[in-house]
Amino acid sequence: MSIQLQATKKQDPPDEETPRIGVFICHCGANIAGFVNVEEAAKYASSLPDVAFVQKNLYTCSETGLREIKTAIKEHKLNRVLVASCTPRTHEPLFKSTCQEAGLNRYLFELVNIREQCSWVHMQDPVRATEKAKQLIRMGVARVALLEPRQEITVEVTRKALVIGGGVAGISAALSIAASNIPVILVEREKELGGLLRDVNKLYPTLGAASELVDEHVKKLQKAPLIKVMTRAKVLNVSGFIGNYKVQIDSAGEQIEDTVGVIVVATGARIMIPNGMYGYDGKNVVMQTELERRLKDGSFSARSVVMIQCVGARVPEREYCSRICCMTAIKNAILIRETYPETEIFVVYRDIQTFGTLYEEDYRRARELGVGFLRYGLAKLPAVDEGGVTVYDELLGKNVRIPYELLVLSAPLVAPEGVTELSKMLKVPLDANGFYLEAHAKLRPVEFATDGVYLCGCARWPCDIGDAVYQGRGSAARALIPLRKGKVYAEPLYAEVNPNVCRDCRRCVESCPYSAITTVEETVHGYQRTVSKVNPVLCKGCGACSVLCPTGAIGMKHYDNTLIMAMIGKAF
Amino acid sequence: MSTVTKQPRKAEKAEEKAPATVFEPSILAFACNWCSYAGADLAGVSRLQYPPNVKLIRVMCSGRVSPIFVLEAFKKGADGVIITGCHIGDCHYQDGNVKAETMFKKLAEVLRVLGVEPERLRLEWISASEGQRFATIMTEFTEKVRKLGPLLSPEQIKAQETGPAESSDLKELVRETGVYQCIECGKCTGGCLMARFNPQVSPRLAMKNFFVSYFSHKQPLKLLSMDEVWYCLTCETCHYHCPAGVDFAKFIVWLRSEAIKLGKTGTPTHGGVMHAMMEFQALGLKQNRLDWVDSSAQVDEKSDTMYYVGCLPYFEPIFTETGAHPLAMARNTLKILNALGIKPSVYEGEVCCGHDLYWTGNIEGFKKLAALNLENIQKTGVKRIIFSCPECFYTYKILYPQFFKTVEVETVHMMQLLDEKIKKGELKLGRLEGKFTFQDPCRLGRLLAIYDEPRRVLKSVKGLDLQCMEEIRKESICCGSTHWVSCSSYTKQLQKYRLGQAVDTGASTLLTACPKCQIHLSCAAKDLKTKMKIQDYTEIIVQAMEQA
Repeated sequence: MSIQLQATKKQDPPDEETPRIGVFICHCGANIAGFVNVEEAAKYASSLPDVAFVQKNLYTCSETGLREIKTAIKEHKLNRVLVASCTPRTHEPLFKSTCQEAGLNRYLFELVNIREQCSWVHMQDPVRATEKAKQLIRMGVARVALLEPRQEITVEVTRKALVIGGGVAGISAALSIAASNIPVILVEREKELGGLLRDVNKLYPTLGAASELVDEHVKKLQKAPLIKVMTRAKVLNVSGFIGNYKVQIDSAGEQIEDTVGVIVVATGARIMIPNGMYGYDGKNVVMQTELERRLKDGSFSARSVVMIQCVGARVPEREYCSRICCMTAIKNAILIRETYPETEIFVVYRDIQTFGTLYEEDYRRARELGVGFLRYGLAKLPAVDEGGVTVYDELLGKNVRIPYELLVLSAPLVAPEGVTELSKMLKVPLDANGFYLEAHAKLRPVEFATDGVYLCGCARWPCDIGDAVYQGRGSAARALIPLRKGKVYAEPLYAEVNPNVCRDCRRCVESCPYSAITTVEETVHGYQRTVSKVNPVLCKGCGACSVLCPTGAIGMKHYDNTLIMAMIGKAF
Repeated sequence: MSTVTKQPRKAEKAEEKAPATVFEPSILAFACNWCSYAGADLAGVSRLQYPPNVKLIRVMCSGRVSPIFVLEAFKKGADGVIITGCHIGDCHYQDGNVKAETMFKKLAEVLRVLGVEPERLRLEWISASEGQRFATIMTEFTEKVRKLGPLLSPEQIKAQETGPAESSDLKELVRETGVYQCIECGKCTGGCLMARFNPQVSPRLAMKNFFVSYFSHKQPLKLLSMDEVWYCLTCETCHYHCPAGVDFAKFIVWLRSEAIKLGKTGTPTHGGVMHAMMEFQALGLKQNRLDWVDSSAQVDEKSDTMYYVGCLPYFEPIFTETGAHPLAMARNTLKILNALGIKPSVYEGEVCCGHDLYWTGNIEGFKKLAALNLENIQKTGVKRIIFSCPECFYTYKILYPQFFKTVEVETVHMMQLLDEKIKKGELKLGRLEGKFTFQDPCRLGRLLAIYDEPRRVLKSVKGLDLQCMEEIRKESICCGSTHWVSCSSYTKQLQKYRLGQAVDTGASTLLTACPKCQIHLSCAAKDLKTKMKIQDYTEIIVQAMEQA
């Protein structure tokens, strides 16, 4: 019954001491004192309960001001400090450290903002600005009196990484991490490394052979003694948190267990098989991968080729753009026109997306080489009969029939099998399409919200080889931060569950974006119960779980209901 | 030390101003640390002016703003409350602001029913770069609230202050509850529903600890753990088992009121919103508690029969996600009453009966509400009050006379009324096939011994197959919570056990007659993924009426 919601009665501070609060009010030159009557505020502060000492400073953050705080803590045996000055966003760390230097726990400090949110915004009404400053100090005093000492949380990070997926993204990530002298376990489901790249003939825009790139990467891996490559391997179980992930891997029947500090997810994607679409049969109607295989082994012989784009992509059931198909089609069209100049090619498309400088160049080149482009819309899909495709050309406004010997379908990349399983194991989210959802597309790309888990390549969303390499290296750079530091620090502002009133409804578990809450089974007085437990390292202290909890079992360290209710009680 | 001794010129000038006569509203703003608080800082750095009426409390995330903070702010004197957070999609914690929005909608509805104008509560997304937006919104909001005027008068705010805690007459309590008669046989603990699932709970031991604390230490609560004080369901199974007639539940209420004086409150469920909402009703605001009354319902302001609705309009927005529909009970009750030819009054000035405040030891809060309700009886001149909620019924019938000697009004529970009317053949019920079982509410059953009426009422529906659970009537098992405290893994076990008994009867629906039974068993059924359907009995009666 440690959670107390009614703030009417004050809790005894845990150290059994009566609070002795020191209040330091800053003039900030004329920034505060120009509009707030500091003298009056100081007089008022000294009348507040538990306030043992009040001092006005010209600049509290100056050498002199900080020294005065330290002296006062010692001379007046202060056990709580409140500074009324500017925003905690800039000055809280400084004052906290000052308290610490004087032997006071840094969390027994409160900063009241009477500059940004008082003197500067109420310049026309100094009387009421002073009144407000007094109220804000009163609220702060109520809060600081109830604060408890806390210790920063430090967690050691195991200097080892697990990369799941041996495609070009995963390999790039593994190589980058190993280059920083950190051991890596690289897990690949298939017999061979390389992932989707192994199905590719040539790479756009360089038209270099894909196999060379695979070979080069594999060679580099072989030369990296810190990377342990496991093929035909599967991650069976993951538990723990940043710095200390316990992983269980099955490699061709052999099971190993290890501890790693971070995990990079590079599980890639697979190409959707367009079964039942446009007469797909794998012979005369094939996918781009089959065309690539025929071009590679020289079995390609068609004199007329039609390619249909966006087969099963950008449609209601799969709304996204697969991103690689336009360039794949253009690349193959160029290769065919260059190698087999007599072969006619038409690309039937909805929109051509050849972003950037080099790709647009290729598009122009394909047109120069005589590749035909016909635009269709979702309203009238191309109709395929034996030997011909009828397209309603939106620009001409009429049907056009193009004969083909080979019809090539550009199908999108989709999430591979097993993502749901892995996402549950790692407790990271998937989007509606089964691709992994990163923490934030712009603020935190290639990272999951859960600390210590990163992602790259097609696991995130369809991307081409270049992007996969960028992302592999990018995720490695992020993963190397905790790995190189060897330690993770967490502020002790976290949620805590009172197991006596937790009913295992798991609302908190499901709502936590950081997977910081799990359920544990425990025995109390011979009685078995399942209750939620917060990992203070993973918890970011947002406090949403404490609001969602129906039984009131979750309290927030340093921002508990008691503290906020105490402030509200003194606000009016 | 300060070197600025002289007051700045501007401040001197301002002090000469005549005191303002316009109403200055008190605005409390909550700002998330990452966006809105930074936005407020930017407003400051840019010297953008807004009214000093706004005071800001920093929280880590807008999702951290518990409804209890807002209720508390309004109770303590806020005229307007504004919650600010990052724009959707920009939350520092992914989707804390989305959670805030969900909470906000529920809270807004509860406040609206409580009589707080919707304009007094606001939710805004303000980013760190939107200093101007912060200043504009705060100015605009202040002006809007200024026009609305004060929410509470200074007297209303002052009336909430409780004086120094009265020292209770311990001897009187001991005599009244009969705890001194305890013969330490342990039957109370043996029968205690909580003790079945929580080995830390023992009424017998609690009484023993109390006596030892009282006689040896002169501090009645010294040896009592807060578990012992706050886990009790007040279901009174112990009272029923006790050969010496000890009223343990009443003793618990006393212990709780003493514990509160020591600042040791229990853990209220739902963030304490339920109790706060009940206390709020005592403030005397004009509530909007009758919006649910359908236009087809026949009500008569001048009727000498009143239908006392209780907290159903408040439970509705809070508990719909559990699958419970508390307001359906109110609508159905009106339908049944109309079918019986009764056009009752439903009273806007009705306040919570105070049941939950009493059982959590908040006697002062209970008395305030009770006094308001009794005043209403006089004001409206009603002769008879009909209850659908067993707790309200119990409170009026048993508790009010204990505290206020004069309650000269007939109190009838719907089950009693239905039983009487069906016997007389005044209610026509059609056929309804199905296997049901019935949950005795503790207030109606063990506390008031109304066991036969519900069974007769339900059995009068042709085709309704009423099955008996293993433990019924006096042995009936509690739904898990009677007054919104101490919901735990233990109460969940209790609910699981009870739902298991319901499943064992072969019934597909468990009928409840108390809104709390409905809410808590619906929640448990959803949580435990049992297929048992939880339904209020009035729905069955209305369905049977429609079949007639």
